[in-house]
Amino acid sequence: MENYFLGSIKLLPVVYGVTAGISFMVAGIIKGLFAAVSFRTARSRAENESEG
Amino acid sequence: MQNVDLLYLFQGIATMVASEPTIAIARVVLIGLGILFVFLGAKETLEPLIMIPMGVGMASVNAGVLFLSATTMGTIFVDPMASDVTKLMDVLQINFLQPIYTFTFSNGLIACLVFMGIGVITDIGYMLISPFKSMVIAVCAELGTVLTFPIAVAMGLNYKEAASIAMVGGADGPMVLYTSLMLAKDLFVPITIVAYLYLSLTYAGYPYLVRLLIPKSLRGIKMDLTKIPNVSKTEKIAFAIITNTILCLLFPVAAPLFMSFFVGVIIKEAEVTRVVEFLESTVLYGSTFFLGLLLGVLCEASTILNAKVLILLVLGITSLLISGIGGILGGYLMYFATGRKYNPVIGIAGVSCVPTTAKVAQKEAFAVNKRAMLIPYAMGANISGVITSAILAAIYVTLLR
Repeated sequence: MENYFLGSIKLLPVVYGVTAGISFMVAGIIKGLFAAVSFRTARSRAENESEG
Repeated sequence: MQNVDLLYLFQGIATMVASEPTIAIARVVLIGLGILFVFLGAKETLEPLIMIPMGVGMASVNAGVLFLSATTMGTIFVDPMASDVTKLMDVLQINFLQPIYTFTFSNGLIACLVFMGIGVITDIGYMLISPFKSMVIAVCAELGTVLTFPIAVAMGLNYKEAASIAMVGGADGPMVLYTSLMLAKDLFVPITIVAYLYLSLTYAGYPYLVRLLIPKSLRGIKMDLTKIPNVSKTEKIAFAIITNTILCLLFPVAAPLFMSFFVGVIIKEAEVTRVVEFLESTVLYGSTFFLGLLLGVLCEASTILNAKVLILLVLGITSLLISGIGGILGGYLMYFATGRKYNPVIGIAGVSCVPTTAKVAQKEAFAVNKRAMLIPYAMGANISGVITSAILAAIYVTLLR
């Protein structure tokens, strides 16, 4: 029984760690998307200005 | 005309007389509880969408017990224990709610349908305002879901049951249903009922927790709304499809849940109006109605009389309480990390009861400062909470199944 409880305690950092890791990866995807979009916008603006 | 045996005529009463006293008392209590749920739902003290059908189902199934044969008693609503193919084919033709149970409950479809509806009413754009801050809060608000697991094990539940009841801390009904169906099928009825009962009470209970843990001066902090970026439709769709694909790749066992949520989000952003209307009204409200009705019908005295129910009641509230405290701690973390500019009340919205906890956060801030507009940030934390709860459910199901 004690081992069973200890097992559940040992599982905690794994469960919480993986949850946090993947959640931040999802946040990273959003940041990456924003960065890509703003880079593309800035580049097209620069191209328009140079053409003008 | 021959003498009519009145007890044979009124079998609901006859079965109560013929059954064991414990079962008879439990039936009366559950009938009373069902009626109470209906009134509390109608008064909107509890969530009416789920509690009214659940209450009607609970009262009806416990009243409508009849003699199926000379020695057996039962109902003609649903038989959750029927698994043998021949028996299943029989009950499918007799029990009127059996087709819905067999084809939508035992495979988790009902949870996925509710999730599609949630996806279609969710504006993912809120989450994109400050993704890392929202995620920090959401991860903190999963504290109850994580810490209740060993507490439940210490109280005598096995790992699968412990993980299922711990999911109540994620405050997401379909997620609790899905996890308990996958991990603890024998206890999925009491666990889901405990979850929906407590989730109905969050709107009434969490404001007290906020007032207890956050001083008035901090509750009124105004958030800067000028920094909210303009998120295009394409960005939202790109985020949804990429995240969905990655999460399905990582956790195939919860892929139906991820897919259901994100398909709703994408359909909404792609403005497929007719499908949006279908998912938003027919699918979401239809499945929520049948979810409530079936949960009520499954509350038959003989099914619900389980020594573990009391433990589940204690663990459910513990999980939600710790998650609420965790969310507020996350709010404080952001408050200090941003140089005291972040309103810690947003933390409560990390508990993913969409949109209830976001509304609680806004209401509490508004009560102190009429110009404190938190809702975009609170909704961001709320939606992040849905995603972290789904990730946690996937981890539990993958590790313990």
